[in-house]
Amino acid sequence: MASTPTPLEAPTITLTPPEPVPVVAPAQVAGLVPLAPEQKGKLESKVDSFVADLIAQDANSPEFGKRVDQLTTMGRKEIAAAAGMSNRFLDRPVRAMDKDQGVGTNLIELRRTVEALDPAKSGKLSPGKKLFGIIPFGNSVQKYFDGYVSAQGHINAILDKLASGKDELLMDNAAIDVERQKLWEAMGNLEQMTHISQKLDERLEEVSHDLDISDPAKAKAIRESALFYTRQRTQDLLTQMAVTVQGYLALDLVKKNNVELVKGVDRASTTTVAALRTAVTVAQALTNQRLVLQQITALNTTTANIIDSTSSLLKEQTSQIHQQAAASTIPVETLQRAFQNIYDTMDSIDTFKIKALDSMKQTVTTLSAEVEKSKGYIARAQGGSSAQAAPDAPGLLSLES
Amino acid sequence: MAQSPAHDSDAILAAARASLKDQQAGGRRVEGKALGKRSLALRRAEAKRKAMMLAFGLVALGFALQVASALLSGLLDLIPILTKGAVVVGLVIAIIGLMRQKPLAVPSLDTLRSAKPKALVAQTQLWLEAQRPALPAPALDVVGRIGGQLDSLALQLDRADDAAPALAQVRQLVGEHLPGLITTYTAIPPALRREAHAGASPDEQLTQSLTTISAEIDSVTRQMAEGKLDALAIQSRFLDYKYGEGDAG
Repeated sequence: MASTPTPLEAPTITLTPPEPVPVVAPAQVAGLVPLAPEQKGKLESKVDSFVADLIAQDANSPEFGKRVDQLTTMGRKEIAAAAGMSNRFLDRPVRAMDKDQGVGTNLIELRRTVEALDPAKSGKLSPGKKLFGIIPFGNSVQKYFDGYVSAQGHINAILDKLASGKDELLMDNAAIDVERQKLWEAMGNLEQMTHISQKLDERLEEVSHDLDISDPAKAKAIRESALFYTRQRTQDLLTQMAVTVQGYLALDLVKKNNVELVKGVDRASTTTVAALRTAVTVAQALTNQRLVLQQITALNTTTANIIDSTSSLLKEQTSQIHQQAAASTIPVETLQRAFQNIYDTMDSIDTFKIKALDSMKQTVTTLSAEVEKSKGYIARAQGGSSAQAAPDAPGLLSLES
Repeated sequence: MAQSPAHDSDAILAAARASLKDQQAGGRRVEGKALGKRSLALRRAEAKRKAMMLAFGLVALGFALQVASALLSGLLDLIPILTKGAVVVGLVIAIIGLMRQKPLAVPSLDTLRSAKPKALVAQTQLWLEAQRPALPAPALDVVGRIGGQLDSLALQLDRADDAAPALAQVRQLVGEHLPGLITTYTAIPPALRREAHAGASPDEQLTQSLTTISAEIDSVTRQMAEGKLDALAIQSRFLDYKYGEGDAG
């Protein structure tokens, strides 16, 4: 960067708005979370022992009915757990949009304050006059730089607010991380249950085929009850899985959005502080007087600490500002360029936010629709819970055992 | 009956060992023992209240006698003797009266049903303690376990928000289902409790259902603790983002 011809030009910041989350169809989600081969083997042996146990019972006995009941509630806990989470994360994108609003208000306020200080707006600082080495409009320049002294408290407060807004965004992302971790686990459990129900489907189909000749009544019972409920459950599990996957992706979208916004906030703070520093240097060059911005000087150190990623940039700029302002014949232009940097940053944040908001809204709409759809299935799963507690074969079709 | 009892020696020894262990732990005479910390706290509060009442009663009695003797002093020489007699009689009556009082009123089913979730655990523990004599041995084990689980549930409830959805679940589980199950069981004539009915004997069904309830109490406790577990995970993730090595993405 040091070798670029216009060293004060900060590298252009690009904030990429994340793409909206597409609709995930239930048919796509099976196998999305990989299962280890030994896990699969364990699940399949569970299925085998269940089927063997089922066909050992008389088709009309209550024992047979109890085992079929197990099928109707298969994966109830896994579905309920995943559904509980998706209800919670549904409001995440919405809350994220609110938070954007908070950061946005502070940025607008910062822009307004900075615009009042813009040297381009007060046309009194003409660099040509300085060539003579005297200060032609000494008073007006002084007055202009006095504006900084009175504005510094305000700017300081805004930058503080932006920093705490950034903390909120980071906290949000930490929460999303944890939630995504848990969702991933929930998806793994759903995947295992789906594997069980799909294997059950296969095995029951085979078994009923074999029984067609030897025991047609039992074959019929298996097809009409066991196989029917198994297929229904497969559908339920896949639907819940689709919603969960979608939520998982939506959380990622919110997180990316936050990361970009954090970048934007960082940059806005850095460019503002840089502009103020430039003003201090330029004031010295123009009026040969020290412009003391105590609060901002104090801020420099804290900002540099807060904004780790951009602090090196800031440091580099400072030395460049000094060189340029001291050596160059056009210090006001330097100052103007510093202001331009702030505007550029804010403009790119604005563009980003418009696009991100769009993606977010689209995602919320899809997600709400999918969650709504899956609620019907969940209701069925809850309704079947009365048939639970089959004491004879606990854990036969559950994951923990 | 070709088999001599010696063939069952293992089983006999095992039964003897179990019986010994049971007796050492108090056997069936466990009614007096508290089931959990919460009910223990209620009992202690009750005992304290009684001790206070006794102390207060004695002070009041002494004061009354002082007043009486002051008013009547000089009338009769008999007064001091009567006074001493009255003190002794009063003491005896007060102690006997307190001893004869029931240890602590056992809450009724209605009390349990309408109790606030946070106060419910102690009440249910008290109620369970009163039910113990009627329960079969295997169910007693489970009830003992439930007593301990209720203690850790109570810890979570203390810190829970009043509007937490888990509270309604707890109220139903601990205030309705658990007492309901045991009441239904105790309504069965004792002679019929060991006979198989609808696939299993009432004793077996009770033990099985108590185990289910115990598992559910455990899962509710976990569910309530989850919020705190999450909060810690989020906090450490945030600190990592803000001060850690990794970048914000």
